[in-house]
Amino acid sequence: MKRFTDPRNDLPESDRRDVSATDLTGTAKMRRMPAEVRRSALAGMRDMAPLLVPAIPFALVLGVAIADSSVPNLAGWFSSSLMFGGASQLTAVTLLGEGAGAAAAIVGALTVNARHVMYSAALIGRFRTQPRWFRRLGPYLLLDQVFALVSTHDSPPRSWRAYYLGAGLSAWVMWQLFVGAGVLFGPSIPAGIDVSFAVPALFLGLLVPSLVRRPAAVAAVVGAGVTAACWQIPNRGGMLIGGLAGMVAGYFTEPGADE
Amino acid sequence: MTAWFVFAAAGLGTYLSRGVFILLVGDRVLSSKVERVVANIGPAVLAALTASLLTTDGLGAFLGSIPEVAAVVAGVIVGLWRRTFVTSFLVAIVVWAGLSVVV
Repeated sequence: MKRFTDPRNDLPESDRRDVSATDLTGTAKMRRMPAEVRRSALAGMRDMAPLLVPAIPFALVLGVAIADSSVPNLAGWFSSSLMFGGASQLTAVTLLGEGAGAAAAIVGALTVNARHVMYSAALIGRFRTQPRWFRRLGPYLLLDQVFALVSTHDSPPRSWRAYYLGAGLSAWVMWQLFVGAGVLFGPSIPAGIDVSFAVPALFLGLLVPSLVRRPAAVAAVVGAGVTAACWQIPNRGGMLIGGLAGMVAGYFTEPGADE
Repeated sequence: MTAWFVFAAAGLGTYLSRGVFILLVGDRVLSSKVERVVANIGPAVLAALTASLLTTDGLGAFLGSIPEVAAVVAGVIVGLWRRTFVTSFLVAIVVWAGLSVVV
């Protein structure tokens, strides 16, 4: 006669109390989210929170711009889920509102987002160990803020994925809500305090402590310096040049680069 | 109808720009040479993004802003010293806010 064993015995002590009676079918570990994954997802949400504060006024401004333009409010709001990128949305809404053609609005929005190609290249190594479904879904959430967090976050693939989704989905929900609020309440929203420096300060805080290797530090210094020198290039084009210059400088500083 | 088309097309293009390398490389193993290139894209791009945001109003405007320059210097020093995100960020913000009131 087969002996019944409680599947909770396979779980760490701290997790056993969370297993409900319906889990006692031998698949408890598969049915519930492991504590490590849950912690990583929550950490992603927690780390994203301060990055979202400066984004809220931007989301509201975008909503007001949609409400004030000739773009239908519903379509304008849906751009938040279709495009999910503040600067490119604002570009498309502004160009459409000024009577520009569809091609001009699309090209304008995509030019603003050109820097995202660099994010994709930077995260190849992280995504290579992820399942196919996540490699297809993940890039949709890859905002500036999400990139800043996940590119400096080290953890095993499963935890990294949970962290990414926690950060990305909380940004997505916030963005939909506050752009919608801007569209609905528009001019009644008071002017906010100046939070313009908060975003680069957050990115700086994420970047500097992660520079533990000399090639990475060289890449960062060259990347920042070249970008600053190219500040006059429109649509953050200098960032693309700076990123490439930093990448090349880092490569030649790596041990064995001359092989 | 034009707006819906524009947002859908720009959304598809945005997704592809964010995913182009991730989708192309998939789970393939990269050569050691490519690994060395990829290893430093993250810091280079994050630094470039930060510099791009700091110089939105021009390099001269940033260098002429004592609160911003002092905050960046303080944030970098504390970040290298303490190696924690929160400390670096808080020091930069406190220096910036404090000097913005004084200067």
